[in-house]
Amino acid sequence: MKSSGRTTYALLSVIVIIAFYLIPYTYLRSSKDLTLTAFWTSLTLLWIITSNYVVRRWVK
Amino acid sequence: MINVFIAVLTAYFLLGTAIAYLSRRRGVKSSSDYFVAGYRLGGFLSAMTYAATTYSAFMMVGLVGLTYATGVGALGFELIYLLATLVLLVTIAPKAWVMAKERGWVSPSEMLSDLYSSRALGYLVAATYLVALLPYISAQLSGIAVVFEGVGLSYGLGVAVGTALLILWVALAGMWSVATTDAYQGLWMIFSAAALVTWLTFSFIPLKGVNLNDLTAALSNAGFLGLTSFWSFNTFLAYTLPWVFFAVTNPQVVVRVFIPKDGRAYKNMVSLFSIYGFIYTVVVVYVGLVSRGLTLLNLFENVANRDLVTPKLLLNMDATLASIIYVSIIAAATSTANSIVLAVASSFVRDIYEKAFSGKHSLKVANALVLTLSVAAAGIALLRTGFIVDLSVLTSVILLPLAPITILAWLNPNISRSKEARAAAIASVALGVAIALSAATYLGPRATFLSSWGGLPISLWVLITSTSITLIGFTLGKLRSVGKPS
Repeated sequence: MKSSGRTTYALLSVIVIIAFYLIPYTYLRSSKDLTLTAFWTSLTLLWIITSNYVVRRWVK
Repeated sequence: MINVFIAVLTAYFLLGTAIAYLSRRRGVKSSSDYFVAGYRLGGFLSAMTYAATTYSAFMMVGLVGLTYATGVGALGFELIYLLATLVLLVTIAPKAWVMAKERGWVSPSEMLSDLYSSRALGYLVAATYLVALLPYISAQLSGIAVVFEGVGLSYGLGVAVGTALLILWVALAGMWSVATTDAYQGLWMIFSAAALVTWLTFSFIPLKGVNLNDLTAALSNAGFLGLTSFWSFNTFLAYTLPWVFFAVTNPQVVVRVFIPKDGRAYKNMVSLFSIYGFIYTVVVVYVGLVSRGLTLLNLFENVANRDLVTPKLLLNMDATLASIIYVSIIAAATSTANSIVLAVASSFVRDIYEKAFSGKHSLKVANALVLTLSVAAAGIALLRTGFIVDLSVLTSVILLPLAPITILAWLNPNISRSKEARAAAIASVALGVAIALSAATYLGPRATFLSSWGGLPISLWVLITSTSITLIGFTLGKLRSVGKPS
């Protein structure tokens, strides 16, 4: 993968981690259903899939 | 119950020992073979040893209890670890994996010593590992002993059995026996967790005359599906910050980046570990939430000591299944403890013994160190000193100063060898560890973990201090290299 791809992945990862903290504390603090659970699990799952795709292209 | 537990434990012990014994055929001739399996592990073993080392007895006992007591915030706390570790494994760790093979790194302190061309840093980091991790090993042995007490056996017997397992499964073939038994234990852990969820969902909950919708409604009404008062932003930050950097601060985890034999093994390690971590975390949090839901509906007793939620739940289960799950807790503790013992021993063998002596007796010294560390941890566990257990909570905070010096050196291995970066790394570790230990002395370890200074958690202060010092060192080092005539 080109270095621009690495930078994009790294920047997106930072955004994902910040979202992991900020969205629950901004919008989902008083969640009365499974929204907060779904948010954290979906975000993690999405990044697991993305990261696995990236690492398979990246590491030779 | 005792007889069934002893039978399951014996089966676990015999099978694990047979696996560890068979792993000797891989051949252990040098300290590199002993501590990093000669960089020859395949993807499956690399992934399973990564997972089993990372996920300790904390999961089935501590995380179930934390979820039960504080709600779904515990899910975020645990998943952020997985997320951050994954990002580190994809972005900077592949570089460390390549460098480890090229430069022959065996221990993480040796890695830092080499990256900064500083023996002093290697000694300092090895000493930090000892201070931070000995209580953590003791806490794992203590966890095994508590399981023994839970089934009606003695605490001392639990410590003795845990220590024997620890020594035997490390001494038989070093990383080979640890990795193969970790794979075995990792499978035991995940299948036990799956069995617990199946039992809860299809047997225990229907037996109580309710369904998952009733539990969700009860949890919702009590606020457990949102962020409870426990999870203030500061508390969430204090809990998660050391977790985010766990993969680059804890030597037993760092060393696992060195061991995959090739690119394919590395990629498979990342994939399998991430899938394992996700499933295990979700399953464990589910158990905690279901238990709380049942308590809210007055169908399960209110457990005041949150570490007892799993044991109380297991009392309702068939003795054989309960024993399998109890043994999975022992497996989680053993797989974490033996990896730590191996990692700490590697620091002393590589950074101190082999640099001072010929290295001719490295394997004997390694085994002697494994024995000494294990017995010392057992002695501490037997004292049942609350402070030691508390101190183990602080382990990740004490190790936090290693995060910036590791990450920056992996990214800039040329600048890290400058004298400015070297001095900064030593100052960074010394000051960061001093802040953590001073706070633990004045406030107590648990309070240190949760206290704030100026509105920020102490762990964040440790990280800010260490990162600032390290960054200054790297900046000065870079400026000097730019100013040099070519």
